[in-house]
Amino acid sequence: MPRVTLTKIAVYPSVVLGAAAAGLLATGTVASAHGYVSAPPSRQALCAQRVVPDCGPIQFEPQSVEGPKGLKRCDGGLPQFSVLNDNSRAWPVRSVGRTVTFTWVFTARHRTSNWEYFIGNSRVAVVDGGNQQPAAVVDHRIDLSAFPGRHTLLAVWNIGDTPNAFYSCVDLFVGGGGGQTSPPPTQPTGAPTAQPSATGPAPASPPGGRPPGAQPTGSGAWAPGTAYRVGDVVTFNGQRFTCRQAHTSIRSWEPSIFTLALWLPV
Amino acid sequence: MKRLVVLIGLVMLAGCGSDPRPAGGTGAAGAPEAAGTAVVAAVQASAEHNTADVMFLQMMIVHIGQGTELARIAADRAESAEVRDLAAAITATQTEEAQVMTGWLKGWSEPVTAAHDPAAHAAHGGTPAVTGEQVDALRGAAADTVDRMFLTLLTGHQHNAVEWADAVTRDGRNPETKDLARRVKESRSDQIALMLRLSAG
Repeated sequence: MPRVTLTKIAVYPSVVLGAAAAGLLATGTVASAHGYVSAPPSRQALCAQRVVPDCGPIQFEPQSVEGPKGLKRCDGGLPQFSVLNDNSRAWPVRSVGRTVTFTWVFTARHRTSNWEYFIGNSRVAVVDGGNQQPAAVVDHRIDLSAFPGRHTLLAVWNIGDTPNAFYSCVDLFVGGGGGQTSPPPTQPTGAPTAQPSATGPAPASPPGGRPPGAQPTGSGAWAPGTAYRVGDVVTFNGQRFTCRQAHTSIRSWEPSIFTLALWLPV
Repeated sequence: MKRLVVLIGLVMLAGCGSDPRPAGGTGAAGAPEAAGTAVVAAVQASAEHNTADVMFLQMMIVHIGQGTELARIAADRAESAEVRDLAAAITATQTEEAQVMTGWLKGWSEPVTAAHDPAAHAAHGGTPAVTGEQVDALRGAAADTVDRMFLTLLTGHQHNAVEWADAVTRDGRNPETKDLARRVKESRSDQIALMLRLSAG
C-alpha cells in the first residue's frame, strides 16, 4: 500500500505535555526475579499453558513461586499460588525414562547458589551454581533410576544473593519405559495410592494447540488456536482477510490494524 | 473503540489493491514496510500520558528489538517448521508494534530510547531474561539445540513483557497505551503457552 505515505510525525499532534519529567521516577516495572521448570512441564507450566485450567494468578506468572529457602512445598508457601499444592487437581503425569533432563526458564538471571531436586524427603540431586548467573539455557540431566513409579518431584532454585528460592513441582512416572514425548492425560494405572485422584475438570485445549474439531486450514470465521497458511482466507467482523504469514493464531493476532503483517483485507 | 474501527476502515481502503504477494512462509522478512507505515499512520495515541506510559513504550521497544533478534535467528535456523513459523510471525507482528510505539513517543516529543537500559534493574534481582549474551548464545548454538534454546529464552523474555504490561495497566495514564498493554499481555501469554507446549515435546 504505497499510497499511505504520511510521515509519522505529520499525523501526530505534537503536543508537549507539561512533562512529568525530570524528578519523577516511575516506580513500577522493578524486575521481579524469577524462574521455573519448563520441561518436563512443572505444575505452574501446565497452568501457564492452560492445560490445567482455572489455576488463578499463577497462570500469568509461573516464574513467581518464590519463598524462603528450605521449604518442601510446591507453592513456595504463597497462598495465592496454593493451587500448586492441591493434589486433587488432575495434574497430568509425564511418563519419563530413568534419566530425566530438566529445563529451567528464567525471567531474571540471579546469581545461583545451587539447584536441588527432591522426591519426598530424599534429595536426589544437587547441581552447584557457583554463585554465578545461570547460562543461557540451564538443563540438568538427573538420574532417577532409584525412584521408579509415580512421584511429584520438587525442583528448587536456590538464589545466591538472597535468602530465597524458587520452587517447581513436576509430576512424573519414572521408568515407565517411555521417553519424554507422550504425556499420559490421566494417571497411570498401578501407581502408588498417594497419587492425586483424577477428579478435576478435563484439561482445556491449550491455546496454542488446535482445538479438537477446529478447521485444519483457514476458511470461515477466524478462530484462535488454528494453524493458518499463507493464502488462507478468513472472515472477521464481517470482513474477509487473507493470511500473508503462516502462523498458529492466538489472542490479539486476529485481523486488525495491529496485525497487517499477518492478515490483509481482501 | 469506535475510533479504532474507523481507523481500521481507513487502512483497509489503503490495503485494497496492495501488493498481494505473501510475506513468505517461513522467511524472516517480517513486516513489509508498507504495512508498518500504514499501522503507524493509523494508530494514534491521545496526548495525555505519564512517565509510566513513556517508560513502558521505551522499554518495550528495546525488548521487542531483543526478542525479534532471537526470532530472526530461529526463523532461519530452527529445525521445526512450527517453530520457524512462530518465530517469523512474532518478528512480523512485533516489528509493527515497535513502529507504533516509536510513533507515539515521537508524537509526545519523548525520547524513543530509554534513558535507562532495562538491564539497569539488574541491581534489584539479576539481569533480565535476555541480553546480548543470550542472543549470541543462540546465534552460536549447535543446530540440534537451536529450537529448544530459542523457545526457552523467548519464553523467559516474554514473561518480562507481561510483567511490564501489568505495571503500565496499573500505573499508566494513556488509554491507547493501556489498550496496547492488554494486547501485549494476551499475545505474549498465548505465545508462552504455545512455546511451553513446543518445549515439552
